[in-house]
Amino acid sequence: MAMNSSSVESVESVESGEPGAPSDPSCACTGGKACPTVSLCGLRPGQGGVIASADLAADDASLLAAMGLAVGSRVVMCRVGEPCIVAVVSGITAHEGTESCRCASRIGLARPLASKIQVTPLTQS
Amino acid sequence: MSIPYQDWQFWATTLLALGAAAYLLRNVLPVPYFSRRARARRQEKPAKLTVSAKKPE
Amino acid sequence: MSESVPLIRGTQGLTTDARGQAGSIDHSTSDERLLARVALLGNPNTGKTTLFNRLTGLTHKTSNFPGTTLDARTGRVTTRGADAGVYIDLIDLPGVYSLELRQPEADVARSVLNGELAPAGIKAQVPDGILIVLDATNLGRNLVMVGEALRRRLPTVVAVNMIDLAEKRGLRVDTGALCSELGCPVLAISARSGRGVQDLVDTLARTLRAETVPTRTAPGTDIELRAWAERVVVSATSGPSESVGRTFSDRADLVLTHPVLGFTVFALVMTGLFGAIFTLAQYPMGWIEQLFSQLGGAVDWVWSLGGWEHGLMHDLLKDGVIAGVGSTVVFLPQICLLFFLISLLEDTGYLARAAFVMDRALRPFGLPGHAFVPLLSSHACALPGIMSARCIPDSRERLATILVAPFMTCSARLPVYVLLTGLLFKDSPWLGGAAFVGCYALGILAGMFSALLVRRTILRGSTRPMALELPSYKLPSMRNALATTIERGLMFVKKAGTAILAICIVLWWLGSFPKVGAPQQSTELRQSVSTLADNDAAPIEARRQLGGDTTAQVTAGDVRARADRMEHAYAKGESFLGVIGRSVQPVFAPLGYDWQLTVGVVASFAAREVFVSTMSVVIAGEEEGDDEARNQTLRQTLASATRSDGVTPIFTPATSWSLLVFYVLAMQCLPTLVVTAREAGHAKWALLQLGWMTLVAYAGALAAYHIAGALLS
Repeated sequence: MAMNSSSVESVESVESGEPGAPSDPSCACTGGKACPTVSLCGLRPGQGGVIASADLAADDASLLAAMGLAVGSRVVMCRVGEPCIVAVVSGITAHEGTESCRCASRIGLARPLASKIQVTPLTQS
Repeated sequence: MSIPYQDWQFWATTLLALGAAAYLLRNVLPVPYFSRRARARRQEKPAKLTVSAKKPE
Repeated sequence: MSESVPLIRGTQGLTTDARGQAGSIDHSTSDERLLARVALLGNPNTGKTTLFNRLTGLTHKTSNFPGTTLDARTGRVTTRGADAGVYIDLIDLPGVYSLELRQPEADVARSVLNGELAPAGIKAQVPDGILIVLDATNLGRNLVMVGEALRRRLPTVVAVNMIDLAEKRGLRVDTGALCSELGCPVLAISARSGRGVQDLVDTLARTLRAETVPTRTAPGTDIELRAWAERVVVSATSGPSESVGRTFSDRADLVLTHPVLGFTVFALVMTGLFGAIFTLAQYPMGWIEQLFSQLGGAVDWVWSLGGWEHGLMHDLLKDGVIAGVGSTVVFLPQICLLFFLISLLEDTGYLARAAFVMDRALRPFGLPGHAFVPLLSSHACALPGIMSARCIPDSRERLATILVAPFMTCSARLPVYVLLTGLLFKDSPWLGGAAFVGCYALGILAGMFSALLVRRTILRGSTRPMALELPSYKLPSMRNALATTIERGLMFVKKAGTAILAICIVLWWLGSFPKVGAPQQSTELRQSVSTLADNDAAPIEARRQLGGDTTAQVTAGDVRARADRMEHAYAKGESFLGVIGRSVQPVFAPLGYDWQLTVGVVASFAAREVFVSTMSVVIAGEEEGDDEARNQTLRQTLASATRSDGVTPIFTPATSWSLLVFYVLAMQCLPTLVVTAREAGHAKWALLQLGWMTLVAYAGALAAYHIAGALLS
């Protein structure tokens, strides 16, 4: 489903040297280079990220995507460890260089699952 | 030792006990006629049309 | 679940999913007051259940979707105003994150919307409309499913629920903007308080009458759909940013999911839960026992009114039917209390966190964190516990949970524990209490190791790591808790009650025939007092025959009562049940059981709760009643009862330990076996459960008998 096909897209974009999220002003990478990704567990509490890929079976990936953890979804780390709790944020608007989100849901993930999800970290929370 | 065959209450209570035993065993033993699954299967009717109003294959 | 959902096909041709093109709503029902059938759809944790309960009251029906183990709830919504007098049939679909997922809940939701499936007893047809429930505080994800539903081109109404929670956070939802984006009516409601619910019903009725389909549609691909949902959220909401990581829920989660603090809180909550259940339930349980004892008296009264002799029908009614119904209903307070409290806990949002805490403890045994609710519920009764294993997504994990759930000490085992710990520790109640707790622990350990074994052998597979939405903490809804309690209570009474009633009738028959004459000892006792009135002092020979102090005050009435009990015990021993017990006794001899104990054990293989009453009758010739002093005497009689040699006590310490361990571990509940077969999908799983638990119980009891015998001799 979406996660696996987009993970292929993100691999291709890495190979071509294009930024993973070129229009994202808070992306941690500099322009012209591919955004490094970390596993979801690698985010610090309060740090945001954009889901880049997930190394999961198709059924698991599509369930997580339906729960909100789809490629391109914006997440904020709430609790690192076991379980890993992330907030999936939506209704994101930018105002005077600051982003805000209107809605968020919390998803708890066992660590083995969280470690298989790659995110592009964002500089600002 | 005796079984009170002449007492009508013996037959009444025995029938009730047999009914109770049959009720208990119907989900365990394969008694097709009485099983709920078999009854449900008998009540199913074939569809005349599928979604999109086509005839089933 | 890998099994496909068999279809209950409608007898009419299925219309296309473009209902607007297919024509008018099917009014070919015999009930002209039925306006339409509507499917209630929504993500989990959107308050769909709360809305369903509010719309349908407590009169909804629970069945299942044929071919699945998923609950199907249907209810009736009464309309008012221009549509007064008509009603809408509401089908509560399982909560799903997406209609396109490959999982049983989504399969069922899709099939119902396609008109291919319906709850048992209802004709399958494409619903006349859809009512979607959204969480106002989480619109982004919820709107994805709205987009999927809009493609169905059915009359649709959207309810934005939890609007009160959103307003508390300062979030404003513009229902007008949502309405123009989605092309269908959108209303803001709070199902918990009832705000906006009546307007929702009116709007739904109007939309269904007019058969208005949505004027907009959502994009087809997942990525476009998500982007569309995000755009709609931005355009239809306003307010301050959500302070992620700093809300009350986030701070509470740091504690409640902490490996040490979280577990401590969990242990305290569970202690409180069980403490409340056992403390509060004893009052209604006492009332129920009194009520059934009065009912027995009422049977005697009816018979005396009719001038009939106390024959077999009287005995069946009193000792079979009333005892049977009573022995089920007496557990109802504990079961209802457990489900009431679990429902309240679940509504607060705590259980999702507890599932993660337990996931750490259960995963080494191959079980997921989700399994803790079924295992917890099984401590009241395995029947509803096994049925609640439906919440476990992975089929192997669900099956493993079902197989081991009966190891958890259920309410029916408690009278046996009370009897045996009372015999073992009559002078030290603290040790008796510790043994009680030990029984619970033994059951849990046996269950966990059995799960580990099963997951390493026949149900091999790695435990799926958990991913669970953590809903916001909120005050629980009494209405939901009551609705769940009534539903589960009725389910228990119907499923267990009918089976246990049938068991008691069969056991009564086996214990009543063949009829035997009185034993010689009781005949001699009667002869010795044949010329005396009840209040006269009994002769010395009679007192000598009874044993005990010959100088004690014993009346002729006491002697006759003792003769009655002897005949009763003798009759039970010579009945078909006694014959079965005697023939099977060699199997149980290594565990230290004589034929009388074997009769009790064999009888309780159908239902554990009959052990104490069977033993009481077989040994003492009578059962416990209301008179506590008499019950004490009865227990003393059991404690001092001897085997056939007239010397060795029946309940030696070693035998009592062996019995205790046997009852902790054995599968002795026919209703549970039936439900296991149904939930697991095949009788072979129930037979495996019976075989394995019997083996474990036998081995455990054998070890306990020999160890206790060696240590205590």
